[in-house]
Amino acid sequence: MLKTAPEKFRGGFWCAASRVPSPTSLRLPRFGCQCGGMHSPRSGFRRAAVASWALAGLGIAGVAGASALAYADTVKPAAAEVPAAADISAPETVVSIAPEPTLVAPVAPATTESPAPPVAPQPTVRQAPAQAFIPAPTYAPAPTYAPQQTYAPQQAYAPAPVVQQQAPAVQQQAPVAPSQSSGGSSSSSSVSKSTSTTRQNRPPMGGGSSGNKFTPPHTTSKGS
Amino acid sequence: MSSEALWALGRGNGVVALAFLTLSVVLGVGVRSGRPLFTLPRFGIADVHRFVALAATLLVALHMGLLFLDPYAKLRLIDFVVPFLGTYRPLWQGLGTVAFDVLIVVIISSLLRRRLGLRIFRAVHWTTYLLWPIAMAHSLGNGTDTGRAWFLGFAGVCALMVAATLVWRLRANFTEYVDVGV
Repeated sequence: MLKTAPEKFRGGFWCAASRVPSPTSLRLPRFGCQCGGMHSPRSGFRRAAVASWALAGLGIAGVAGASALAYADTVKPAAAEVPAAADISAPETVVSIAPEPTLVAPVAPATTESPAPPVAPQPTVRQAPAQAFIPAPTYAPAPTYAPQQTYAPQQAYAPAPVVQQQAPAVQQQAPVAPSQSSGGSSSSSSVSKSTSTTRQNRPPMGGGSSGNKFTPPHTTSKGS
Repeated sequence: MSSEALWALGRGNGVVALAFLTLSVVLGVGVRSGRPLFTLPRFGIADVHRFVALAATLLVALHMGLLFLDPYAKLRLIDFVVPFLGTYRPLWQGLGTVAFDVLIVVIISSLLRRRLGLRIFRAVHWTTYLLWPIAMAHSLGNGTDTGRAWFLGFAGVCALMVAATLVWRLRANFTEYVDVGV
């Protein structure tokens, strides 16, 4: 009844030390086999408890790590978007910074030249970066601002006047459309970017650009 | 801020629940073989298998509870039980509901093993081979981390572990442990 079969191993225990089936283990009181390896039920359960608690610790660490990754994926795009928004205001800071070195540079030689003439090499060194800063204002982000002026898609919407030939009613719509598109494009683009990035890893709420059948049930379920 | 934390914790619990389900499948096949694993005897492996399965159930419950509390996910109580009624990706979310239902049945049948008998227990327990791919499909289809490299690597490792275990299980020389009382 307790004999080993080639495929089926009935009733016995595998010896953890010798990795062979030990059919005589059931006859022994402590499940030991004849290879000399010792594994009592108490030690087996103790090892199982240690392994279980180790896995529990790994699970807690895994939850923390996966949650951190998920949270970083959710928040990171919004943080990465901030520089893009700061780029818009960047010219203001650049313009304000640029005059400062030019103001500091003349003051520095005046104070350093008065105490001692041998210190003369130092002001020359400071003046060099001051002159090097001069190209920075010449960077004059004005050309970068040019796209905003060239945004003016009102001229690009020139086909709108063509509609005038069809009906005077459309003539009223034509001027409205460019003003909405030009005025709303800059503001809505920045707003939509910020909102979409903060919700990047979230299911779209309503209206769904990804084609979810989402909006009607939400409005009903949220109320309940 | 708290909504973001609930969302992230819910996702993290779901990911680790999938890992524990994978480990439970591997350990279950290991129990079936009767071989020792890392100096653990068979009854020790069975003990760890039981612990891992219960921990996976707890993690799934946390996953669902946290997403239920998150106001953005907008889960309903009926979505926990009845599949394919969700508002967001009903198919993939419904697969998660199916996996949860199967998991509950498997856990209850395991806890009532003595009363149900070994045949019914085994018949129900065989559905765990269906539970794992359903849970994996739910995580890949409904999860918002699917495009991330870390999640794809994690899912690949889980799939490799289960595939290797199944190959080992289906080999002709797989020595199967048979209870004496059967």
